[in-house]
Amino acid sequence: MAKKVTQPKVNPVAGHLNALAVGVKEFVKPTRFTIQYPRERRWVIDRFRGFIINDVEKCISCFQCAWACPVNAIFMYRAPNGKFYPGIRYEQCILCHFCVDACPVGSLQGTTISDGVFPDLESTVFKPEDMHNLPQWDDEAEYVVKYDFDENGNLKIIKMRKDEVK
Amino acid sequence: MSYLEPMVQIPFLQPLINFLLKVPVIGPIVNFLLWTPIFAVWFVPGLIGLFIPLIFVIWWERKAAARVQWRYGPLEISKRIGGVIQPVSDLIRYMLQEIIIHQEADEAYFLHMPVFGFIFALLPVLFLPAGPHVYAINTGYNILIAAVLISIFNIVIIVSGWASTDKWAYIGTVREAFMYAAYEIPFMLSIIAMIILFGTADPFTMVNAQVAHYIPGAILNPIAFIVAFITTAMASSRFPFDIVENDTDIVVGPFTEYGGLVFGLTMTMSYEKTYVMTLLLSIVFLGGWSGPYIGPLGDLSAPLWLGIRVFLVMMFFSFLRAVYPNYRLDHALRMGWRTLLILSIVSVIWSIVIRLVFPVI
Repeated sequence: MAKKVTQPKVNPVAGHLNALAVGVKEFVKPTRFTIQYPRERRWVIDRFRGFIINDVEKCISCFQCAWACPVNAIFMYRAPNGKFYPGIRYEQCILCHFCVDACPVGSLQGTTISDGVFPDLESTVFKPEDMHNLPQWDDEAEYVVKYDFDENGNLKIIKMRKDEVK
Repeated sequence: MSYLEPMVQIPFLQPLINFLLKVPVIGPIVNFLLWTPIFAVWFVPGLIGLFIPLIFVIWWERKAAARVQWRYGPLEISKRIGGVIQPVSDLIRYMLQEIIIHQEADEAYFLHMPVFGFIFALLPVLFLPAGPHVYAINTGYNILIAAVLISIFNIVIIVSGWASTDKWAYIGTVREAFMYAAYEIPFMLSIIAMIILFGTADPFTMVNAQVAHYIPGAILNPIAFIVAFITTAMASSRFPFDIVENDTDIVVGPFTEYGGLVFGLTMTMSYEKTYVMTLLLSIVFLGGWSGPYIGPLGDLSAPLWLGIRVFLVMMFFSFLRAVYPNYRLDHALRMGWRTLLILSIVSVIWSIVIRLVFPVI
């Protein structure tokens, strides 16, 4: 059965005044929480899923990471000693860290670094020898911004200098 | 040696002016620039008086809207002063861009109309005084002539949209024609109401009447003020009436095909129109240039007080961008032809009653 919907009655003058009042309130004390990215970075938790490094000394060449990978981003490369070691193609990787969870000896380790730029497609393919070390980026950020809530549930923005954090 | 008279008197610059007037080549130029009609056209309320609010208000509009909407707005250019010179850098970018005329456009109309529009939008300044001694032309019917000249400008937008042969431009042009009919009648009626109220179309007499009775025109006839205020927002496509150049809807309406410096001209047109109509509103409704006389500024004291009013009203119009979404075309037309038209007729009746019962002048 069709139901007729009537428009809700709005007092136009009160509505306009209310809108202007909200505008003025936000202008005087804005609740913005923008992070000005190159100069500031967002604080992330320790288990944030970023780039993945591999410790070849620990790796037992079990292929579990390549099996676990949902997007087939991990390739196993043959090393001179006859073993196979994983290398990640970051144009496919979705940073889900299933490989880190699947690793039985803890040789794959996650890092919190996530903001990097590659100059071309070839440099997104990481060979096993590239996976020893943390990838290096120029970090311009001076501050690290952390979102938190105070006891009333309002947003609280904590701004820390970069050297204070780690 | 005979000088062009009258000249604008600025006491704190007078020694410098007196010296420059005696220099052979520069003297006549300084005399010409300070000659009252030329001064009014070039400095206040004319071209320089337009560009200072233009640069400031464009910056203010982006910055205030950003602040309310939890952003930062222009910041990277001149970071220490909050990106104030962003409009200047935009202008330089427009100047360096190529002006593209596509194949189907009517070349002559397409290129000339923005330039005509820039001139037509500023024409009313000839008839709007910035102070008792700073004016270009004084006919005794200045307010009426300025109000009529403001309405010429829309033809330029319609022609430029038609000449650019583009889908979005056509839609924008038709919208402009609809909006023009909807706001022009209430605006004219509200100005006519004030002319009836003061019994004159002479801006000097109007401001003197408001000063003599310590009542601005906005309180004498609040209905006319509200109508003129809303129709100014409609005419200069400020929010919530940004229907003609609505860039989220029809790219930039009639100016879709423009690029480079010509686009810069079309973009400044709506701000020019805001400036001119705000000038008119300030003179008729907000007490014009009334304010304490500042000795060292001399004749520039009155333009200063008028300028403060114009700045504040323009800043309010720009601030509306942060608060409102857009009206739909049919809603705006219904508002223009129903609410505003009735209100403006009521304001005319109100003025006649006040004129008969308490003659102001």
